[in-house]
Amino acid sequence: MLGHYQSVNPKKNLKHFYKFPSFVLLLYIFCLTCSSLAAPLTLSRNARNSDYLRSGLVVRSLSYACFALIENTDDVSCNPTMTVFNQESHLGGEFLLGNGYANVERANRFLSSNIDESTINDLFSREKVLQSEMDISLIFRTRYFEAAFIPSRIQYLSAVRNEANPDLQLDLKKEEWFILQGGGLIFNGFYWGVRFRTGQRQFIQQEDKLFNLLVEQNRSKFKPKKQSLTLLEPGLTFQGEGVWSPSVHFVLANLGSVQGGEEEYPNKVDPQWGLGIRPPLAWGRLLFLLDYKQLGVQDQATIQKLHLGISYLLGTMTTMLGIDSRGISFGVFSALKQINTGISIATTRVSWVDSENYTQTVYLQLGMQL
Amino acid sequence: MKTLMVILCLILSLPCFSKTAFNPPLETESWQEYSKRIQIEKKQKMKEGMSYIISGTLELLGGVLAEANTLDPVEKGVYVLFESIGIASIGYGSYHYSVNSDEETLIESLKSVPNINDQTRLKIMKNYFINSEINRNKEDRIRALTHGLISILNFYNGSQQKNETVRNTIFFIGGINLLACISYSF
Repeated sequence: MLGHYQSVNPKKNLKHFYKFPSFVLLLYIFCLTCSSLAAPLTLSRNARNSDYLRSGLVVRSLSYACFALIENTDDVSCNPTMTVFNQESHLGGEFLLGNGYANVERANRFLSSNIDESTINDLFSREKVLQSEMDISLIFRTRYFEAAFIPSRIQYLSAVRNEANPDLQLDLKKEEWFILQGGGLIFNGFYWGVRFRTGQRQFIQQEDKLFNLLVEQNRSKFKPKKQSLTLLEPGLTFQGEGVWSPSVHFVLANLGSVQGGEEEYPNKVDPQWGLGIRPPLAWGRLLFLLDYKQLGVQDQATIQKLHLGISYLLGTMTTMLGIDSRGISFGVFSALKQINTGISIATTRVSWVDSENYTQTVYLQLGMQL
Repeated sequence: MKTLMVILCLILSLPCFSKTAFNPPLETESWQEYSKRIQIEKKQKMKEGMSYIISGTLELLGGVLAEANTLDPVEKGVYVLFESIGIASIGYGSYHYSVNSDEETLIESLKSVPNINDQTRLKIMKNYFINSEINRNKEDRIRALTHGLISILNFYNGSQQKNETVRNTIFFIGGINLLACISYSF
């Protein structure tokens, strides 16, 4: 099916770019709408963290707008139906690090209930917002089938507000996942897919006065909780055959059973939608993606569930842009068959909104394939 | 460190240079039609090669500039890797641009032989692909056996492992190799 994209004659179809300004106008309206929601984000979260999904650097850079993505070599497809379009088999490992390793160590100390004086001092003396992330994954991809084992994924975010009597917001989790997914053709242009994922989550999500942490008895509030998840998520894709290769995607996410921690991470079945178009170009492959999905527990409004991604692949290099109500991200990913690397920058700050409070993350990723 | 990374990346990228083209003539295709189709595909391949050269150059230049402007050692390491992939990409692109695949070489050779007609050329081409297919099947059997043995070894080692994370990782690799073994068997 990927051959379909390659068979499009770019020169013949460049006339379709006359319709392009209307798309740019829509994009501009979307950015403005998102910016109105970006201000209250402040310190409460990272622009590219998700309570429900895990992903590699490419999908993060595209603000999780990924249902129509085929050219993703750093992770399993985020839409199980897209396994149908895999052309080669890959077995590899990926290592993603966000904002350095020091805070990952601190997260581990919290999760092992080892809150000592030095951990608290760090919270007092350092910057207002500390955040970090680490994700190690083993990935297998072949046509119609993909599998991933994530032995360790750690997310850490702490924010301190009000300097006189500081409030502490702590949000950290450590996860382990096993994912199996596959798909096939139903009939002309329609594809099915299903993802099975099971995992365990250990987390602390707490807001308190920082001084309360100095009293040892109060530290029990910061004891980690556990959650186990077993999910079966079906998906459906329609791949059109027009010049722009339009595609429509549907995934019924979070369908399954959850044990523990439902107060902090309620498991709500989420019908997710996605659109993708590929304007033909003389050089490289351009892809516009628009997904409707819930990334965080707090994301309830429709505009918070809209995510826009733009990806441009030329040779070994992919440049990506992601825009949604959480912020903006930009990434460059470089991949040969055996090795890949990438860098992505995500921020909750938008240049046209004047705010002192924002979070910024630099993600680095390294991967190798057999 | 930088030299080591470059060498590592170039060694790792060597398997990318393997010739994977497999494009036999269709049943209804004449020699003229077939050689014309291969010619169009060659042009496409050359364009793809040029894309790799352009992206590799951008990666190399971007990596050098970014590396000079950062103090973070991990970030520096990533930019060095960008530079290495850039160099490998330029090499890979140049290979795609200028080196013929096996079938292109065979077509060129057949075209340069004056005393045979187009039907004979087409027959030689078809025989070449039949023999290639036989070799491919042999390769698949050897691959299936190799992945099967790796799978058995990993499942055995996993069952002996006490650390849960390490055990799960080894079982995962065992499972993947079992799947690879099955996929090469059919």
